[in-house]
Amino acid sequence: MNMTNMMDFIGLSLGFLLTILIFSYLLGDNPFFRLAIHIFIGVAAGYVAIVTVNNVLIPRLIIPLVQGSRGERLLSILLFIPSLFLFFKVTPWRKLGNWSVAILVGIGAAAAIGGAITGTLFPQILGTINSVDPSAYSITTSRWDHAINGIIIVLGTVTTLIYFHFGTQDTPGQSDKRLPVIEHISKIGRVFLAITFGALYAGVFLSALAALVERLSSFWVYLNTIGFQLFSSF
Amino acid sequence: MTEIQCPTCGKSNTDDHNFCDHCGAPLFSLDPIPPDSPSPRDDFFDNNQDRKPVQTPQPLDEASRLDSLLSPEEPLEEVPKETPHPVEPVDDFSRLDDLIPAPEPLDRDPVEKRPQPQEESDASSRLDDFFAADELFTGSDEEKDQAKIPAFDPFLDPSARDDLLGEEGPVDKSGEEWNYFTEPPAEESLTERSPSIEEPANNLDFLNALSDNSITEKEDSAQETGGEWDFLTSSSAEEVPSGQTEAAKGPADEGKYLSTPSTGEEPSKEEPPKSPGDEWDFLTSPSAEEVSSKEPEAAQGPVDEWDFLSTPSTGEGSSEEEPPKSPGDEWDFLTSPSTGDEPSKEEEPAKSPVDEWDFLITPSAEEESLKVEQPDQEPAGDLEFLASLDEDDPNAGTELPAAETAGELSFLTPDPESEPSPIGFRPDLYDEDEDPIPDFGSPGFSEDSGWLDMLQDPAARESAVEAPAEPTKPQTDWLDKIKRLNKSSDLVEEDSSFPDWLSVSEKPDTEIPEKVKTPEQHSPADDSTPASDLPAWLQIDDDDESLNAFLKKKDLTNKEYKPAIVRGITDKLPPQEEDDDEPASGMSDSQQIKFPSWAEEKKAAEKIPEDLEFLAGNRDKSTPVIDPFQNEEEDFIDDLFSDEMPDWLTSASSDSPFEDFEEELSQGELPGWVEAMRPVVESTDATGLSEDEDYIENYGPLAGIPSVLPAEAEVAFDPERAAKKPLDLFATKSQHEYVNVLKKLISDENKTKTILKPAPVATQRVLRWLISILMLVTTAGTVVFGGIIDTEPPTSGQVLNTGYGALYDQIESFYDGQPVLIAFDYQPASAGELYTAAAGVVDHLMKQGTYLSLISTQPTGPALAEHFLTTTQEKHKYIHTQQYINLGYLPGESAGLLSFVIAPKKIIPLAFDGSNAWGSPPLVDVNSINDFAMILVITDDPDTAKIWIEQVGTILEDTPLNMVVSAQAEPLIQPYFRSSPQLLKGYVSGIIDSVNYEQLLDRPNLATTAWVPFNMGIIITVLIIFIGGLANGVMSLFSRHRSRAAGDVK
Repeated sequence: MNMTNMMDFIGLSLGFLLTILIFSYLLGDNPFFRLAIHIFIGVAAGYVAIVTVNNVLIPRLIIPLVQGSRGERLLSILLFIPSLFLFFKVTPWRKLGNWSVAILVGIGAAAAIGGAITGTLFPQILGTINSVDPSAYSITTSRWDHAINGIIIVLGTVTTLIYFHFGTQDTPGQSDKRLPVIEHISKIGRVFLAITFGALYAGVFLSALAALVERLSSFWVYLNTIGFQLFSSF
Repeated sequence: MTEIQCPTCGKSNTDDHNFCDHCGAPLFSLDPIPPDSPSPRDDFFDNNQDRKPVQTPQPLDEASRLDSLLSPEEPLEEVPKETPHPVEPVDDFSRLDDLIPAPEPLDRDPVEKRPQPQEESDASSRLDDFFAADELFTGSDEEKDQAKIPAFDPFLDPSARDDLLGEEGPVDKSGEEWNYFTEPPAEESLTERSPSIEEPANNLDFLNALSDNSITEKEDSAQETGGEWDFLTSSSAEEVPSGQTEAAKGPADEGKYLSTPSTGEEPSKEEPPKSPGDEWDFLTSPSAEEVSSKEPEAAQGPVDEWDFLSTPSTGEGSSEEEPPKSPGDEWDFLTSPSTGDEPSKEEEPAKSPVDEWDFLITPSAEEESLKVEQPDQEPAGDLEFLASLDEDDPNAGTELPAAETAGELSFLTPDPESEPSPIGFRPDLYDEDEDPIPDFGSPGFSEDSGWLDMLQDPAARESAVEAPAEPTKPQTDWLDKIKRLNKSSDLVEEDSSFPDWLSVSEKPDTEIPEKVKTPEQHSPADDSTPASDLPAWLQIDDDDESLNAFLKKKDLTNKEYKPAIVRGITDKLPPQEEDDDEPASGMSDSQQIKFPSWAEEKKAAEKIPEDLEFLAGNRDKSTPVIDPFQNEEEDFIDDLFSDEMPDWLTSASSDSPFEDFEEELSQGELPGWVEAMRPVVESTDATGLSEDEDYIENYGPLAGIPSVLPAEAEVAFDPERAAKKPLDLFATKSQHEYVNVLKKLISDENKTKTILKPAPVATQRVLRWLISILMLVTTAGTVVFGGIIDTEPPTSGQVLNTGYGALYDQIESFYDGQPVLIAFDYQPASAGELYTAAAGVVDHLMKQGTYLSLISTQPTGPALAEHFLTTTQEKHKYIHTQQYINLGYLPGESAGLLSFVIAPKKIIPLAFDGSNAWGSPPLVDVNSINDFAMILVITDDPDTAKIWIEQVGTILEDTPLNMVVSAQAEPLIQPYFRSSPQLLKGYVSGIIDSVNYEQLLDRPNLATTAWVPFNMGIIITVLIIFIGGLANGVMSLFSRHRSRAAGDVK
């Protein structure tokens, strides 16, 4: 067995072992499960740190600062100074890194909001409107199907949004309640929400099931590798 | 001897007289002498020109006076008869000494020549002898300064009286000892007289002796023997000026005022036999006729009672008189100078303090002659001693109006018809043999009653003789206490144990507790001294059992006497606990009675030292009190609160006093004014609390009183009781509901909630195990034994308008060498599913010959990408930087992605391995994001998918954006595919779409391999959910039915 194969075998063995440790959670929380979890977290954190240093700090900060041109150096310095102040967030002088965090949060918020508005809000609104527009459908599809889909989509969208409306009216002598119309409509929206949550739960289950199948398949491959040829004949 | 003019009649009297011999008026004013104020009185009482402060011995305490006077068992023996400082002046009668200064030491020489003790020979010194031990009526200068006038305590124990009056019986002593109050012989000076020490056939011989000239002799003898009472013996005139000697007398001398110096010891003295009445001669009017009419043995009338005011020569040996004036000389004013004692004393020109009392003596030559004979006439010396005052201060008598007669001095003569006070000097009770009269200077005869305080020179009080070793009672405490008691007894019956003449109230002394009248009265002295010897107002009824009991109680050694109430209480009480907070139960014997609060406080204060002693282990309750004088005050106080007290202070009538005590507490009988202050407890309807009508406080000072506010605040109220009373408030229905909710919350606050034992976890664990085992077995079985199941590819209609269909169509249109950007943005945990789902798509791309550019916004993305290609696409044998390039990690998420979209070459200049990525064939023709033929995002997170759609999809123009997502992200990204404009051109979600894609591609891959176990897992899961839901529904139906049935039963 060459080294590659050896490394693969070791990898498979470790994978098999760690999978078994994870499956031990069926018996309850135990040290084996915690060992596997800690190994995974540790390896992931270490790999992330290495990637960050190799793929971000060195090529984007150190090399330009050392070997780059004047402009690159100036830019690197301008980028390095906020990064340096960001380290103050873990020190007693954490207030000094507030401005660096503010820059990061501000830029990220701006990109997120802009994208959400242009990529989600408006398109979704247009899509809801167009769902009831027969001209938006292709000719291959039935118009009644499109219409029904549109109605369902609009109904679901509106009722779901109404469900999240909690404004009430002050009624003397009575407790604050929503309007009866909104109260009834929100019930429909509750239905759509329940369906959505159900679909999400199903998707999660399918994902987990797929992972289970993949793991079991890996077990079987490992066993076949180590010589359990008995099952391979089946 | 100087002469004093009587202010009343104007006749001259000897200076050793205090009262006028002619009219009987006092020769000197009786104004109280301010302390430290020089006054003529100082000169009057102090023969010494130096005006040395008279050192008066400490007065007798109340109990000691009574004890010494009445109680035969009074341990007068404890009182040292012999004064430690015989030369020290006597303090008891220093008051009188102050008033009656010792005569001028003109007679010093004749006095000094006498072989007698120095303190004798003066009428005033009779009193000195009364206090002094051995130096009665001496005329020393020092003693003159120390005008010790022993306080006369009519309440002295009989034993003490014996000491005062001598060893003779009361019969013999009657009148004689009091002769110092009688008129002294005019021709005799106080200093010349000697105390009639030899007279003490009875206790009061000293009084007679004071009027005799032989006082000095008697005083001397009294000093030698029981000289404690010498001062009352016939004192010579020398005693007046020699009052200083009295100051020099010791404490033992203090007791001599009631004793005849020669009581029982010198019968050879000239003291005539005294009748019992002679003992009270001091109280008789100082009229000459009365004085002369007094017979020592004859039936003595009230006049005899004033014998103490008579000359000391009566019944007293003159030999006892001493030339130097002793502190007892200060009392010479009380004695009538006996002419036979000290004729030389008549020559004393100096005015003595006794001269002030000359007004009580009628100055006449006849009287003086009679005074000489007074030694033989004991009872006649009512005010004989005062005659001696004329000799000392002839000027004093002139100040008094001549019209003053003896009748005006009737105040000094008790009403013979008046009832004797229950407490007083009882010669009949006095047994001299058993209870010799203590010394004159004994502490027991310290300053006595308050009525004598007025006579005391303040200077003399301050310069009192050193206190004896034995602590003494304050002078007037007992009297003050009596006064206070009487004052506070407005609603209280008068205590019958106290004499009427001491009581403020005019209530007759008829109410005496029954228990007080116990037959347990044994007082040897009671029978010894016939009552007839005492003046009427001092006589105590033999039948006065209350008094006897009261007196007996003073006898601490008399253990037989113990009030029944006290015994009853002590027997019933539990062991006393040292808890001062509790009521007065369980305290000392004398405190087992319900006392007023102010009395209880005092008793508690007195109890403390007792407790401390007990704790120290020094207290031996079995042993009698060693120091009667110290405890007499306490005893006296005890007596104040004894069962002799009125019923309102005692519960003696009850057989179960303790129970009565409790009953009284429980009943909470309060005075009317307290009752009026009782707060009215109203029903708190608002809060629902009812009146605590039956509430009786059991804690604190209000124990036993009903209808009081509880000591402990009632924080929590019973909501149920509150709910019984309807609220008279206007409230809406919802408010009532809120109130009920609040009540329920409050009521549940104090209720102990039983913590339900949690259901056994084993049930859930077993169920979990079963499900897991089922899933593993079926899945593993299908993986191992399932193999690959050939499935039919989806139809076009099924693929139409599907995401995987659209993606298939796009990739199918690609040709060789087109750059495709693939983003591996998923976590390693989702690698199994996404590997299965993306394997077909990537395989299709590689089949088409496209160049792949790999990028990731996750740090683990590049590694996952490499692993994906090596495990699923190994057959295509793509080479890095040739057919694919791995650009590595793109930081910054949305911002970084946006920046990459804008300037990809600047954001990622190098490949993941550091090689030049943008010069490699996959990226050689790519300058912007739109130069890619397609962007395929492989992710398991819907947010990441949205970020790519929002950041990249809006910028892309013709480059389609496709995704391979996990099944859990499909519901969230499908609207982007279904919406218009369509931002997502195609997608493959999970194994199902991947299987369909592979079937379209007709290249089975991982998805096709995993389809059977995957489907088996789905089938098993659906069955479990269905069966479990069905079972839960059925069980819930049954539980509802049971709860309804149970609810109906309730």
